[in-house]
Amino acid sequence: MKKYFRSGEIFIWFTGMGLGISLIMITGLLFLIVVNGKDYFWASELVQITRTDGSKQLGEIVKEEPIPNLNLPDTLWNKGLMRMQLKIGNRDLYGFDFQWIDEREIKQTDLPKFASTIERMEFGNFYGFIKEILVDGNVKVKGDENVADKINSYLSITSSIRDEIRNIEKSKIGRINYNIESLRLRIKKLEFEGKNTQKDLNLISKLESEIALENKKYAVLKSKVDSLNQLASRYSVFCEDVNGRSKTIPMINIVRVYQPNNMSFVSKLGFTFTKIREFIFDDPRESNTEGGVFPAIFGTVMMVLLMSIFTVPFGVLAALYLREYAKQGPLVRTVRIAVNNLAGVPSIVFGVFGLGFFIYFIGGTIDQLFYPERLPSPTWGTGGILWASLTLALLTMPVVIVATEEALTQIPRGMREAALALGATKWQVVRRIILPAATPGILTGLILAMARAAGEVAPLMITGVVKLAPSLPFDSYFPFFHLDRKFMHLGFHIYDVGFQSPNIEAAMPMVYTTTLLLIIIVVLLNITAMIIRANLRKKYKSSTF
Amino acid sequence: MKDLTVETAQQIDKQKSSGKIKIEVNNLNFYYGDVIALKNINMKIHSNQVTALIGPSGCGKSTFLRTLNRMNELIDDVKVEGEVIIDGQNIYKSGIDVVQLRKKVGMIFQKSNPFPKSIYENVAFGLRIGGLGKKSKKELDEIVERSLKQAALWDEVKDRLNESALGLSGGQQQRLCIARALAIEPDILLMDEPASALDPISTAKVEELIHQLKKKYTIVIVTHNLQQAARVSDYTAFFYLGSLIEFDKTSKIFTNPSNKQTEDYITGRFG
Repeated sequence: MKKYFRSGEIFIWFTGMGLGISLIMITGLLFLIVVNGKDYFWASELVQITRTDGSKQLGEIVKEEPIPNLNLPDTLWNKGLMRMQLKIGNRDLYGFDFQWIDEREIKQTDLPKFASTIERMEFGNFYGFIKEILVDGNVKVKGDENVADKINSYLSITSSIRDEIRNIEKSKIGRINYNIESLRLRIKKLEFEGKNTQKDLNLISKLESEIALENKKYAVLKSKVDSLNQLASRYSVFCEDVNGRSKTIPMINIVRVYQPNNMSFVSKLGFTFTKIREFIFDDPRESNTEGGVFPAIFGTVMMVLLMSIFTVPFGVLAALYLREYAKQGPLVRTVRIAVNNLAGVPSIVFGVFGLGFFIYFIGGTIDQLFYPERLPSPTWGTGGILWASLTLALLTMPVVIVATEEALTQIPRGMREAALALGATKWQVVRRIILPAATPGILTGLILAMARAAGEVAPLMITGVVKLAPSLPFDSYFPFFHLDRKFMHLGFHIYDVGFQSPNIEAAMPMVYTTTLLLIIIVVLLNITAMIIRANLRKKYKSSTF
Repeated sequence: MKDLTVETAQQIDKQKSSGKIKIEVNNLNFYYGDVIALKNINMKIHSNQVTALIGPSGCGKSTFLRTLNRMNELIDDVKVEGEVIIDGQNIYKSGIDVVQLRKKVGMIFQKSNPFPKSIYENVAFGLRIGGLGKKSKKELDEIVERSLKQAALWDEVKDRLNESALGLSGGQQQRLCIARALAIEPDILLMDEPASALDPISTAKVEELIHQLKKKYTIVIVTHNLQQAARVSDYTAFFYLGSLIEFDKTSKIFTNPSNKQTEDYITGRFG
């Protein structure tokens, strides 16, 4: 035993154990997330349960667990009785989505072949049987087989109508609104300046007539949308739930219909890919609990990149000054300790600082100086992606400073002396020798900073993140990047969907999937930086001699 | 043809001046903080001669070498008293441009320290940063080639000028550092134990190189290797505990030193 201690073998075991535990925790975390999130993408079977009292229930089995002994009479203890949680959907009919069913109540379970899951634009999923397809109220298709064959061709009609409506609303009406808003602001500005010269008055009346013109265009588009809606409303489906309660659903409200019990493995796989694509590239629906998270992905990535643009130059400059120029002494030591401590300050504190300094002070000042006509409604004096990025840049700057300083101390003294002895000025040494050689270290700092920034939620909540942003901070209108806009963020999305949505249980798979996505995005950002760093390391690997 | 005559003329010019004093050190004291490292050094270093500085570790010979191009100033909290006159100008006078001084007084270090750049860029570094005016690519190529030839490295690297300098062997790296210093055409070369980390063959090459270079440059070399000092130098200075004990022609120091301490050191009785 003593020998083991002396040889250190036992400590090698400990280090191995430490690594093993970390790996198990990481894989466990990923496994948990994937298992819990997969329901969101998988076409789960619809189980029909007949109770002993004759009532029926149709839905997806979400969870199965043994009934705790305390909930059972003594005679049934430790008999392995199970209960299951069923997602029964049909919120508009039943008022709730989930139901627990005790094993003892079950008389029979079936997988009805034509049970359909109908994903709707509102009220969540409908689980039941489609009996008829109606056009203008007349039955067009009847019978389970026929409906299953035809439903998708009918749905493609309504979904193309829906796409067109969305296209008109988003791009065409969006442009009109944008034009009206900018014209209105110009009028407001002229009125605010209050010169009331003839020229100004003429200009205002001209602008007003332009607004009237835009409004006319809007009316035309609006009527087009109305007629499209009318066209779409001709199509509907007549459904029955498992107990025979009937429901007519307009097709325009249906996202997709599938019959999971009637699908092969391959078609289920195809369904999964469609869902993944929807998740990554589409906008959210139903207060974020359905649909995609594209705006949140976009917001997260853009915010992290903006943050990097701010934090790296300032962090590197600060580290250069501290390490290369400042005279080492008590003052510099104090500054260094302060910087290190800054890295440990709770992030919400930075959020509050960002709110007070960036938003109210700087943003407010900008509004007063440049946009006084718009006050009291703020332009820059409110949360936005710029202020959020700056706040996070401040939050992550200590990491960059520390990593850069570390890299600077690693550069061999000989290399600086050689450059100085060749008649280089201090700045030339920094610029041509030290900075290139320190770049891998700086990138390490950036990687750590990005990982931290992408995961931060608290400071963002008070500096610009919102539950649902009407538009991305980047679009086709000049100047393309709208840094004053509020944005969506995956971290906040998780919080919002998981804890603030009206139907938390139904949103749980979404929470897990979004978490997985956030992890993937952080990993992707980091891998990109790591590849760059590896290339630079090869280039600047310092002398082995 | 024309170049050749110019070069010969320069050599003759330099030979004429070989009796001239290049560096004159007067009453030099040097302190690290409160600790005195050099005590009242007086020395006259001759032009186009090799001057070796010998002495036990910590005797101040490297410190002395570094005072000659003011490299010691990179360390915080040092103090210099006295004067170092190079070509008639005191380099410690206020208003002296250190950058210009270091261009004139090149330095080779104990540990070869090539930059993590290509071989070509290493040699061209001094020219690129220098305010020597914009050089054309062709001029740069010529200077790089000439410097590498002077450092007896050209034949070994001419086919891989764009490869990393860190791929060279230790001896080649040291000669590259010499080429790099030569590229900016200094007057004086300071060498701080240039061969101490090299194998005998590389050492021989560097020593041969020193012989070649003294035609054009004034060389001051710090060495721990007494044989090396005897082989390469014309003058030798013996330092002990921060003082210059003896300074004379190498032949005299190694055969008939006038100071007892010098004799003890050279014969290996201490140090």
